[in-house]
Amino acid sequence: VEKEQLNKINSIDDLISIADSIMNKTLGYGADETEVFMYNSKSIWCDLSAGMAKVIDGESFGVSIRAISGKKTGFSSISSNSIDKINKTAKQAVESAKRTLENKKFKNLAMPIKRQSKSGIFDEKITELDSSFLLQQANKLIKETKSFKNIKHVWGSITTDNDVFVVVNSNNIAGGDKSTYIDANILCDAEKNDEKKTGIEKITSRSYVELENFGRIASQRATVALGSQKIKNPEIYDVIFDNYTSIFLTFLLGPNICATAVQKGKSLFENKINKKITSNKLTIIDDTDMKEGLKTMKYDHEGIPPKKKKIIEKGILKNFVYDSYSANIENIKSTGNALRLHKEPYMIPPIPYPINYLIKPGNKDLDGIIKQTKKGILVRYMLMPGIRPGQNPSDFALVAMSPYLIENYEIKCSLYPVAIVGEFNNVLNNIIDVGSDLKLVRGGKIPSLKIRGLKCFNAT
Amino acid sequence: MEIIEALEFCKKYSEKLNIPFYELRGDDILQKIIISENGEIKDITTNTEIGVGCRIIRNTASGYSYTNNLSKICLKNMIIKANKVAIIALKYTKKRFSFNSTKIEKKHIQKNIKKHPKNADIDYKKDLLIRTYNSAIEINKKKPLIAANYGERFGFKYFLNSEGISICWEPILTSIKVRVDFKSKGVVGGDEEYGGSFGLERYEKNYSPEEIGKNAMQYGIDRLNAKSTITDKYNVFIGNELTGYIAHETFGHLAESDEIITGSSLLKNLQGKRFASDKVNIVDQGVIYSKNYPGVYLPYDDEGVKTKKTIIVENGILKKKLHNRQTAKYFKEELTGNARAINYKYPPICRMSNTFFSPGELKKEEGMELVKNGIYAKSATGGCMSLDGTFILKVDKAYIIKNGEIEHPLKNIIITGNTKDFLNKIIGVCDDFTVLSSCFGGCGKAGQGPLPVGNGGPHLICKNIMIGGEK
Repeated sequence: VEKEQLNKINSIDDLISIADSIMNKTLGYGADETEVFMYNSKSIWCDLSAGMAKVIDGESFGVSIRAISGKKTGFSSISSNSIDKINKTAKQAVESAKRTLENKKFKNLAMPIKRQSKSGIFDEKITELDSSFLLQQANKLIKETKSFKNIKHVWGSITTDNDVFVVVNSNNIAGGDKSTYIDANILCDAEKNDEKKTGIEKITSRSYVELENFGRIASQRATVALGSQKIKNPEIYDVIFDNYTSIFLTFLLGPNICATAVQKGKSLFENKINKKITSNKLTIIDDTDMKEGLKTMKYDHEGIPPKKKKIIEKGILKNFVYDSYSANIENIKSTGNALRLHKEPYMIPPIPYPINYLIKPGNKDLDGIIKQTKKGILVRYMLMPGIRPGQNPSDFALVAMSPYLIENYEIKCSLYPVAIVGEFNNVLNNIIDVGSDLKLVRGGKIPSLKIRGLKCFNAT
Repeated sequence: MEIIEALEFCKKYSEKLNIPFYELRGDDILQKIIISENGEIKDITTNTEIGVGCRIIRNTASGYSYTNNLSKICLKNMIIKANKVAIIALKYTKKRFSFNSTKIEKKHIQKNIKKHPKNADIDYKKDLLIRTYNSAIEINKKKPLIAANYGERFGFKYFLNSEGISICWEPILTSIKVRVDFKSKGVVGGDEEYGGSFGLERYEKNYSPEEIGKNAMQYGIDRLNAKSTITDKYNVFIGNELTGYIAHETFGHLAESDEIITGSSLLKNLQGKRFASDKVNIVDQGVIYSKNYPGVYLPYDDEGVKTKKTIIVENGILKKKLHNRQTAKYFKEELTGNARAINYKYPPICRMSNTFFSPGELKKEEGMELVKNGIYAKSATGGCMSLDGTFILKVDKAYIIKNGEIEHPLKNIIITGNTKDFLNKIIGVCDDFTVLSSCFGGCGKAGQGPLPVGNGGPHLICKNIMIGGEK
């Protein structure tokens, strides 16, 4: 690898050729098998909060190397394009592998699989946006809040990312993909007397979107929520999560449908394939073909094309998601779900995780669900999670920050923050309605959900 | 080019461009994690973070750029980009104020570490994990999954700016974490961790791998036998770890001045006023001079300001806030050294360092007696807060207290409330004290996480706290 090469990273092919050289070097250091993952990211973040502007505009590059010695594995990464340092990192990975114990379950690094797969949207327009334009847009959103007299504090930020990754291994894997994102958030506080309510509007998209009315929408949401009341404490309610807050379901499902967690006995769904795990209202697909899906990629982070599959069908568990390690243990093919779930993905080895959840929508929108609810709580826009996914997976706890009380099939009033606590299995088995209002979020596309009989009490 | 050379090059280039105020930061940090399962070393991962960042301030507007390509052309591009975006940002900046002045220092700081992880053989570190397993399995042979991880993080952090400050200091962090998971009506488990800015000698002298393993197993067994509780108000005896969470999560973020400037923090306009019960004293301190509990070592912040001890709450009165150089200027207050960035890719923002409740005078037994009947909440696995003071803490080690004695473990409970109400319900503070840190997690704010922080304090006694349980 020549230094000049690393200073001119323009395409996936450029990166693959550099990764190939590093792979050969690592084999030369004594690895039996090796995998090289490379990642380059260009990012602009513009923030306008409380009258102060901040901009970050930068580019970073990272490499990680997995080395195999016998059945022993080692991993090393570096955020540098210095050839000497990358070589040292490769040596480190080989040395680490030699110092671990043999993992009898390990067979080999990913082997090529022929499978149709799709890249997500790559929007050239996003790559052309500069900080001047983004600040102007953020300023426009903030100006929209000015006509709301109760709005006291406003935060607005817009981020663009332009990322590329490649992965090669000594079993003839060579693949990669690129992506663009724009992410806009506006938050504002409405205040009246001693009460404060926060309104939010946000979007994350792979393609450029016109950011119209975001400030107005966030301001309306904050203002309408003023005048909160308290609920009778504590009591059982049917709870409706709108399509902003129902994302909790994807966070909590993820670690339970990851094959590695199942094999280690850390999943709630061990031995549950083809068995009922949720109410029959729920059907979930890992839609790897979703062009607009935020994690859609032609190759996963081990270089395997992802496979579209059903996870849950009418409440019955159909599939787990696999990387090559967990698939090899069961003598099946990887489903192409190896992801490095980190802001700097080269810094960690991959684990199996869904690419894009697609929750099959029902036939009623949020209003339709409310109109069928005699007594309930509507959780809107924001919640505070009380649990860390993967730890004691049967626990469920959160605080709804902008809830509403539903009585006699309509919204009666806004509420002060409400805490909800229970068991995750009960939550899954009591999903009694699924909305038609799919929303694109980081985890995939999700609708509103209604859950029967959850313990609720005033959080403050 | 090496980091120091790159920073010197950037300095000269910034001066050539006549940039009025610039800061340059460089990181050269190594983090190693050893992962074991059921006593077998499964993986060793090493991450090296190398890169430089440049912040240019024009009035209050901030332009930041970074790179880990240390070629001259990329370094020049970084400076040009930071300067360009600072000029653009200035157009949209309405609040205009400059930096509080600070002492110009030129130093290389290094903490005295007896058994530095960089000098210890990897087999020694692997053995620490095997010892946790052997001790855990001795008290329960039901074959739970025992995951024990060792982490170390050390290297160099560099800072220099246009005023002449030039600092290099060496961060250091080690920790061992053991998690025990049983299969029983799902998966339940417990964990134990010991970590901070100390060398490996502490795992022999202070808290041995055997004790960490044994305690993790005991917490797992407790969770196996835990019962649900009724959602209600309880008297609560709060353990050291959870006290740390409360100091950091439910209170500390509110004291960060960048949240106060925006007007969103609950602490806005409350300085000098009563905010908590008179038993409460909360401190943020960059370097803790405790033999047993040094927390995380932070001699300088990421603006080159020497850290200090800041008494935020004194006998219940809100005394001070946590500042960076801009917020200190804005509020006309002294610097506290709380500008921190997770790495060279981010500009510093107001962050905590080691945040803790100061110890009181009660013995632990007296504290337990004061609670009499209620809940012993030892630690939390997660927590979240909102700037209006609403918070949720997920308690993972909890027990019923009956007549001043621990009775049985509890499962799946949360503490919720409003920070101000909560701090006013503290009726007693014990004389014990711990401040720990971790390689496996930390604080998250504005997309910058996990940032190593130190949390802790003594046992607290609280009255009428809302506890959510499954019943």
